[in-house]
Amino acid sequence: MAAGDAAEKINDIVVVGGGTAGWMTAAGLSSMLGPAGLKVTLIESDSIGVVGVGEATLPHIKLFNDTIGVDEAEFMSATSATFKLGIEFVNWGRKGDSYIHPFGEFGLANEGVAFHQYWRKFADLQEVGQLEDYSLPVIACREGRFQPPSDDPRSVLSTYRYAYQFDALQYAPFMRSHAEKRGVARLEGKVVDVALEGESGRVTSLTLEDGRTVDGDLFIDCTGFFGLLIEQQLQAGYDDWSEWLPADRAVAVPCESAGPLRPYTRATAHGAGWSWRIPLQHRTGNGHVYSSQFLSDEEACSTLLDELEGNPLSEPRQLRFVTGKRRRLWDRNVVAIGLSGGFLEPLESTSIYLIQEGISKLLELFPDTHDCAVERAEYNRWMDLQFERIRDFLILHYHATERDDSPFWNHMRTMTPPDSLRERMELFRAHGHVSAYEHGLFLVPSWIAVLIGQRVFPRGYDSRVDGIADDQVLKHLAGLKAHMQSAAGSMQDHAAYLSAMTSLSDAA
Amino acid sequence: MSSERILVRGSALPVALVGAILARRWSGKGKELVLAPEREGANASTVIARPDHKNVHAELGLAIESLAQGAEAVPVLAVATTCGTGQVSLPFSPYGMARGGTDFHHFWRRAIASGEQPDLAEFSLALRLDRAGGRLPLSTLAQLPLEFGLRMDRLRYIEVLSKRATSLGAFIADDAGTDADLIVDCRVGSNRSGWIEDRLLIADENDIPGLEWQICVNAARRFLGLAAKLSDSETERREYSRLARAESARIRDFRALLRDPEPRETEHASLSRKIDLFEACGRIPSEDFEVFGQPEWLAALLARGIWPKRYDRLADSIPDKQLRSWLSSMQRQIGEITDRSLRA
Ligand SMILES: Cc1cc2nc3c(=O)[nH]c(=O)nc-3n(C[C@H](O)[C@H](O)[C@H](O)COP(=O)(O)OP(=O)(O)OC[C@H]3O[C@@H](n4cnc5c(N)ncnc54)[C@H](O)[C@@H]3O)c2cc1C
Repeated sequence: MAAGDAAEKINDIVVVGGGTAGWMTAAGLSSMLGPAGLKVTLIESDSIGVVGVGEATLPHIKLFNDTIGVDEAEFMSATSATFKLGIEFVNWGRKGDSYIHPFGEFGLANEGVAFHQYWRKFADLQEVGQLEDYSLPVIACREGRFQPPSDDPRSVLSTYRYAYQFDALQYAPFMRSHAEKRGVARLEGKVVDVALEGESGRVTSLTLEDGRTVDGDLFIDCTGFFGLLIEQQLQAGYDDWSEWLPADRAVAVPCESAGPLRPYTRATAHGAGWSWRIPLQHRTGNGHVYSSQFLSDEEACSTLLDELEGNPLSEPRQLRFVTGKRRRLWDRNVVAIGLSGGFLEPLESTSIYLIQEGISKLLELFPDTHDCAVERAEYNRWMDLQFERIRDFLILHYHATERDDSPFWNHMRTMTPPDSLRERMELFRAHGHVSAYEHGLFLVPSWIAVLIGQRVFPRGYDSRVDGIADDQVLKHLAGLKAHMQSAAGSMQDHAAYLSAMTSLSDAA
Repeated sequence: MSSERILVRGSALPVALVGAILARRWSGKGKELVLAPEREGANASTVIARPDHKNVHAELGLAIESLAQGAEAVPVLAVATTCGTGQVSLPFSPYGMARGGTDFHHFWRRAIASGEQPDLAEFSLALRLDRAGGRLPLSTLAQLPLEFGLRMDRLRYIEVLSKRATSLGAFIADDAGTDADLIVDCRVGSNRSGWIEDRLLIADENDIPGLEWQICVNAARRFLGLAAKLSDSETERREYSRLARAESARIRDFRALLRDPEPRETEHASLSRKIDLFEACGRIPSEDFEVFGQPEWLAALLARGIWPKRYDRLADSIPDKQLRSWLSSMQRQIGEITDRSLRA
């Protein structure tokens, strides 16, 4: 049935695009709504291909994989994945700095007072050390250790979560096999024409290069930066956030692995951007994200090649983007998921998370008929909130810096941040309190990690810390630090754990 | 280190509750907490503590059994209040059982769409038990998958809390004057709240059972979450007031849904969203810092005659026959548990 009568039931879903977003969406919709009678077709074009980057993820992806019934060991083998406990930021607050934003908390709250408040009071004492000395996942990252968290909430080994780093070119095919098993039909071909219904402006069918037409009720635009339906056809508009996040290009190249297999992604700041290093089982992914206003493509490429830890495995690839989001992510009967919906640079590995969030919200609000303006408005409101809160968190990394060694950093340091971020920074600077929200990706421990890591050091601290005798606090800090160290020491070596897991899966 | 003095004054229950929570977490060297409660009216009767009581009382070291003795605490599974169309019972626990991540009421709505007429309240163990009116022993309740609040004798609860507050270091004074670094004014019943200079105002209407209790708890927690030197708390004051405003907006929406003659005509986007989305597809969107739970919103929406036009598509994932047998077996089980619990 084509998208005609507003009262007709929505049953035929057409996903356009077979990258990470397209196949995740197809897998998610078919597993959850397939049993309810939904039919999903995916169109992808071999001649166009996928963006081929996007290898670092956040812990939420485990929930997605679990929901659609992915076996973890099989997934790790199929996508050459490694485990990830956080992101290391090098040279961000100042040149020479390094901190890790872990997937876990710092220390333990005591008497209702957050741990970092105690640490703050004594942070000047050498024996107290860095805040990250009190984070199990950070210590595990530094020591190259990994094992899944303990189920026992009393154990310090339960105080973290984990994500994956995988080969982007292997993940979509892996999702494809899952989706096809759940009945998703795949069509290969390039969409060359889009038919819109006159009055409603809804998409009714797509025409492929070979002349085939594909009808549908609801279309999911996963065509990446093309935004084939959402922008080229429906002109949903774009909120451009480059005023705050001016990086607009990336150059990417994989290289041979060298050194130990680290359970974390590294983001190293440079003169006009930053570079990523993502360790996989069979290679290392690298890329340099930069602002073309401040750096030429050639310089960006040579900075990247100079710091590779092994021989490059292909020619460097250039990518261009504008940071921001589609003004209406769901417009008429088109929902944009993935890069077609917007792009926030990959500093905190948030894009795949946003794909996942787009899928879950769509499932929650899945329309019955085309008479779904309310569902659409709620979807857009929710996704806007997600994007905006992530945006603020990303800006923090650039704006809260002491770096003044390049025009780029001077621009970032002195720009006017969004009010929402300015207020958060002021609150933290005063006494280390974090302005909380409930609906957003990055919660209090993440803000603390990055604020402290970026040298936003609170002037004071929670006054209740003074209620406990100094020697008692210092003793507690020393005990906790030693406990974290020894617990991290008891964890397995990341490479050894991974190899045992994947060889078991291969044998099966 | 110079000392700091907080004076908590106003209605007796809020003063005792806020006082006890502050005494537990804002005390020690250099901190003085003075409570100046007004005399509670002679007709003071009961107070409802919402399900959050478990956390609050655990923090204060008040076991539920001791509250049963000391404050005549009895469990409350739902509260009744007035609404534009009469009375409504607001349950603290979800209706029925969610399935595959989809809330029960979508399955119920699907049954209605296929011509059946089940009463949603029949699938709420909380409402069934509440309606049956028996007194459930705490030991029985502990075995059931239910959230519950407590109904307590107001004067005795005040006594328990005041005792706890003083044992944690607070002072009770009849005439404490106004000499303090911070005055916490508890005026539940008026409608200003926020932290302005040296006044922290805890206020709202007390017109929904349990609200007064929750407002005090949230205010004390909010203050503690922003604790800093009182003479240097300007940023924290702003943040406190922002959060208090958000809370007031959530309460305002709920109250308007219950009591406004035409809640659909509300000028508040957050309430329109709840009404519109629920009506469109049965989902109830949540905002940051909700005060009332989803089951309470659901009860209030239905009581105001706001019905979902359709159910969630995810509820279509089981065949009709399976749906019918699942619903009837759930209804039967709930009936059995209700009977057994009342006999226990
Ligand atoms: C530099 C960079 C680094 C990144 N790093 C990360 C990271 O570390 N972590 C993370 O979470 N995310 C990251 N991302 C984002 C991540 O790559 C994407 O979110 C993810 O790959 C999803 O892409 P996509 O599926 O939306 O688009 P694409 O991969 O571009 O797929 C688009 C699909 O649409 C199809 N298509 C397009 N036009 C047509 C047409 N006319 N007809 C038929 N088919 C068509 C293509 O064939 C393709 O299959 C990064 C992105 C960039 C640019």
